[in-house]
Amino acid sequence: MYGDALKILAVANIDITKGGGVLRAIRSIKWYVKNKVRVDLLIPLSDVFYAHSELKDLKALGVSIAGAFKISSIASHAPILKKTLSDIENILFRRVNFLKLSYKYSPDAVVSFHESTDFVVTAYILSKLFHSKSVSLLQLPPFYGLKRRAENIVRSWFLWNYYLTSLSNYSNIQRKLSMDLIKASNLIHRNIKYNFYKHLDMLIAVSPSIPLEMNVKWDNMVILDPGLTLDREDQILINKIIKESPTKNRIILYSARISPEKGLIEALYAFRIMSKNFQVSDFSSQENLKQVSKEH
Amino acid sequence: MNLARKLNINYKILITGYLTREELFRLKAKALVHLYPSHEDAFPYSVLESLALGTPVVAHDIPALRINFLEKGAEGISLVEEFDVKGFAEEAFKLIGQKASPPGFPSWEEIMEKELSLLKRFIGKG
Repeated sequence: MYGDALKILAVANIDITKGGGVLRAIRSIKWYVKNKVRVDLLIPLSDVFYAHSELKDLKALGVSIAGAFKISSIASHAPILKKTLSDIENILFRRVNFLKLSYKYSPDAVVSFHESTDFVVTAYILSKLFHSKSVSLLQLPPFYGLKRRAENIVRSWFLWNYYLTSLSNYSNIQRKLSMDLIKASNLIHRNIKYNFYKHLDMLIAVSPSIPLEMNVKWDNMVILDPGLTLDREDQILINKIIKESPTKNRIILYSARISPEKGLIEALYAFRIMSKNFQVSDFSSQENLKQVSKEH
Repeated sequence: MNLARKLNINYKILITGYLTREELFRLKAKALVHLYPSHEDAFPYSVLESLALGTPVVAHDIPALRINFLEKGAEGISLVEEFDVKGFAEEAFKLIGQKASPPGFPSWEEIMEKELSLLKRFIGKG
């Protein structure tokens, strides 16, 4: 069926609840397959359990599932189990070429669709195993080379921990020390990552802001500008909604992943300032926002 | 929610959980303004969707938002220094009632053509 077509082994997340990076990865993989690229997919084990519908869609298009990695991903809320599973995975991955046993051909490239180290390292190891190229899509900077950017991200973690964990009980010295420790650890990680990513075969950045924030100009990196946009399905849906001329409700929206870097704490504080001077919808009467969103 | 309770805004907040894309888009279209105080991004779909649905966005002044939206001529987006919460709220107020639209980007198909041809050329199959 594929003849001399491009064959890739894709390492990607497909659980759409994990954010925009996953959405782009899925859309990209679907487009590849529709354009005669053979795609075999390696996914985190947790996606096997939590991403049924995406898995079904991809299989229907002709994507084969090559296997699962990140065994520990199924135990995200159980640290001890996660550590044990992670150790088991390391042993399997290092001592048994378990993927090669079930894999009948060599891909032209092993492509990580995410920038995070677990995905990129997996793709890199597999590319060595199959003597093929390793490619990584950077959907975020894997590290920050601009000092101010790096510091602000640490500050956002700190803010999160201060308001949502026991960090507020720490003394000033303890807080300063923990912030310095995070900064030092980030610096070490940055240097390791710098040398690793610099020597990968190919990096595709989905925004010109990525090399800027990494503070690098590398020969192995190409930049898509822009690297994403709305697809046809989204565009049709948006046009349909706009045609219905929806009326604005008194809603201030926060729509992002619930994580420190996404600024939930600041959003809550900004919302408090706004709501003091502005009447917003009151949800204390068990009003269901899903109904609000469906009203015409 | 504990923090929201502490700030006495819990009764004004509704956590929707996961919404389908249609539900999310309908909600975005009905919102007055979208608060997007992210510190880490490359090219947020979330901002692009809101602008396309005519909902203005206030976000942090980080390279991803500045390069991909503000400098490319998006309408209805305002960027504020990170951690300036008061400035963030003020800008959000100013944006209410304003028009919003994203910059004119190439189509998804064009972007994918480029990505795939890069890959093929690199591997020697293009």
